[in-house]
Amino acid sequence: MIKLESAHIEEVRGIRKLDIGFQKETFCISGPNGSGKSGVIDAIEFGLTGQISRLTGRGTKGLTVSEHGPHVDKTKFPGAAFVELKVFLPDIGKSATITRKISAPKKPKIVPSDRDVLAAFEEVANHPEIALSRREILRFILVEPTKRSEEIQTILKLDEIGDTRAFNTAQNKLQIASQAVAATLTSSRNALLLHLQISALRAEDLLGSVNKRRKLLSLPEIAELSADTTLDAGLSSSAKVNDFNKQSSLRDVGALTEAEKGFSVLAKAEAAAIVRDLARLEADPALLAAVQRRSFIEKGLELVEGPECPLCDRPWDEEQHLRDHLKAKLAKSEEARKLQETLLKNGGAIAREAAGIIGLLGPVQKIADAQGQAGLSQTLGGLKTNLEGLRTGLTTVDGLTGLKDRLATGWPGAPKALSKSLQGLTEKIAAIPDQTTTLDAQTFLTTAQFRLADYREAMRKNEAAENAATAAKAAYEAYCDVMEEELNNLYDEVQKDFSTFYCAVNEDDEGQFTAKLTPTAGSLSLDVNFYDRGLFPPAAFHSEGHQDGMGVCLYLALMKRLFGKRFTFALLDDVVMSVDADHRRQFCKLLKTHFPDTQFVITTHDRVWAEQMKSAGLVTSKTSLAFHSWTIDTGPLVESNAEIWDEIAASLAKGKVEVAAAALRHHLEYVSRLLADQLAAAPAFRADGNYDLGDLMPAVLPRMKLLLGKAVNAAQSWAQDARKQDALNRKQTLSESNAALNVEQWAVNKLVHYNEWANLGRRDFEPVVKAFRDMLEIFSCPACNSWLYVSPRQSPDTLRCTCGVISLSLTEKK
Amino acid sequence: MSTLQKQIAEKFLAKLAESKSLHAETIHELRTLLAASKKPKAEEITKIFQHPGGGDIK
Repeated sequence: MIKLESAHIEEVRGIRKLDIGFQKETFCISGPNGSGKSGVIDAIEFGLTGQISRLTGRGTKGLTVSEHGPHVDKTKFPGAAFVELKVFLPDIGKSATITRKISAPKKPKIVPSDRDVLAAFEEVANHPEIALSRREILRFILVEPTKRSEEIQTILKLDEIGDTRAFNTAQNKLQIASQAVAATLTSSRNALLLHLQISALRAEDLLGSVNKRRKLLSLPEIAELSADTTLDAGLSSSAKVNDFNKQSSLRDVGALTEAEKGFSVLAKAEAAAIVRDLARLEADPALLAAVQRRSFIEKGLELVEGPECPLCDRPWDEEQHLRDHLKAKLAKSEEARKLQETLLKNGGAIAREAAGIIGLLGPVQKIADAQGQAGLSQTLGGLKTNLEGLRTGLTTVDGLTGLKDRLATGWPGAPKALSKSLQGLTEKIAAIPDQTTTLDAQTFLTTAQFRLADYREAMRKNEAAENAATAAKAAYEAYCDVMEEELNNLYDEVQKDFSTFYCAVNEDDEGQFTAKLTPTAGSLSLDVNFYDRGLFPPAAFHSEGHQDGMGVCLYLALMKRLFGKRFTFALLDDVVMSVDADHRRQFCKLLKTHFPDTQFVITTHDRVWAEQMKSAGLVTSKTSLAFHSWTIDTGPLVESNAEIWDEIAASLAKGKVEVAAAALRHHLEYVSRLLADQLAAAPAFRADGNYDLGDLMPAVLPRMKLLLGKAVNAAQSWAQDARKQDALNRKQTLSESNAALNVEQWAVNKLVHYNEWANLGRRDFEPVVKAFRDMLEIFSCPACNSWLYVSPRQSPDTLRCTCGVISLSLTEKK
Repeated sequence: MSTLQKQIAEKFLAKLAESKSLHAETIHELRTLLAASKKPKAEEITKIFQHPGGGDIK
């Protein structure tokens, strides 16, 4: 895996041009909704994998990376949209740069192009799950068990090996093939029994019938039937030429004649059921379409070899998405599946009967040939070919559809004159003078040997087919067993980690939390403990925030299982949106303690949460970036405490008061919210929690004044002169800047109230900027640039910064 | 092939060898197939079992 050192993004999604130094550290990008945070995630994901998750999967029909990956003004120039990432590859200890253009997502430029570097990037490209968005975490928690199983198998890359379909299809095919061979074996067996005039194919009976003839011919009796026994052994070559045996021929023709009488009722119920089901399909075009598509899609799914659909050639961003799409279509046609199964089952029954008829036709056709009945021979040959074609058609729904009329009117399809022709053949054979006893015995043995050879061949094929089917079945079952066992082990580990992580985040209220992942045929149930009242589905009693937390914890557990210690990088896009403040601190602790070697790039629209990450030591000022807004022309506007005043000054220098005023207002909105939280200020309560600048700043200023007053008194009591002076200086600056702001209150009011700055002049605005800048400096540390905060929050005893340079006690010596 | 997939494939082949329900030759061919393709096709598997090595009849 990787660690990200820096990113250069141009014209990708909502970004025009942006450089970010990630420094291989966990990094936070904050900003209001629509400020371009997710665009950064998209760009990094694209740079690493060539894909953008938000443009693929459910609900993204019609979206593509090529068309919607570039900035909206560059959709016709995708070559201008690219991402350049400098990454460190811990496995090989090298740094490398990957540059990927939207116009050529599969052809990144990698420098250096060493084999190990290329292999490392290829591995990352195969793991789009490094990016997690809030939309995606709910995939694990709130979906039905079958879908969860798919999602988790996909993320763990189990979908290929977890797919037992190929083994199942193979065993089914071999089973069907075995049944067809078995039908041929039955036919050849019946033909042999008929000729030998015995009822069971026991060696003793067979040899009894054969030896009776051999004795007549003064040939040695065969004592034992082995695999190489030849029944007509000892007959001269000339005697073997004639294999016409009158009595046997009469029996063969008689058997076919008898069978032909029953053709009209043969498998009639099955044929009628097929006709009925086909009529149902015709009456329900949607069902018919589902069945037809089913076969089509099944075939397509088997043929998928890459991200291009084998059915329509449509390119997909990812092969898995194509597979998911086809699987979803199959899942929708459950009724069609059942109907298809019934149709094929009835088709199979008819096919077996057809095989029986074919078995009877062969010997009679031979007799007809021998008796110069060319017409009958041709009829029988035609019927045989016809029935063999029928057997093939009975194996598919399309084939059955084509056979509907035939199945309705009498599927054997024997010519009407067949009965009469067979009668004629019988009479002709009967008219032949009886063969001499010797000739009868000779031809009996010759025919017996032919039929035994046919039977042996059919037996061998049958055994091979049976063995193949049995072996395939054994392999399929072994595969399923092993997979189930491994998946159970895997889910057990994931379940333990998931519970551990969730407990870590929620140790204050759910420290004894447990979860249960239960895999059953193709599905994965998730139940979680709710305050020791039992196991329930996640959405049953837990809040949305807790569910969000579960989603992230399950994701982390899965990534740990997938990569182990090589889990060094993940993109978390606004994933803990609904988790409350206290649990967020625990979340920071979880990431720091359980994933110390993983670089997380975290986005959030909640600036307080962004600051909490700093307070918790998960990120620093240097590994944080805040966007204050976004415009279509500029992309994300980066908020920087150090640079905001330069930006404002630059705007004022250009006479763009409205730009400067907007930047200042955004900055004040951000800072006032942050400081109100960090200093535990008390703005006038609003039930909707929608505090604006006008609510927050008036609460922050007196709060700070109060805190600084306490700090002065405390320092005085502890005889800490330096700290006392620091607090006094801050308090004085606060008063001065506050006074200045009061003087400029008319301008401040315009600033605070949206859209009223338009008429302000540069000289009107500059004193306001200076007053705010001076005032805000007292709220931050000059050493680490972090904003001051009180600790503990409820009953503060210290006012401090992140680095500890500022640490003003608020408690006086007693 | 990922480690996990590899692990499952190895255990699958070991189980087949242990059960002695398949010829060593068949198992070898399955091993080759699973190593070469992470998504073996039904036709390829069918072919392996239809091969004489897949049955006892020579």
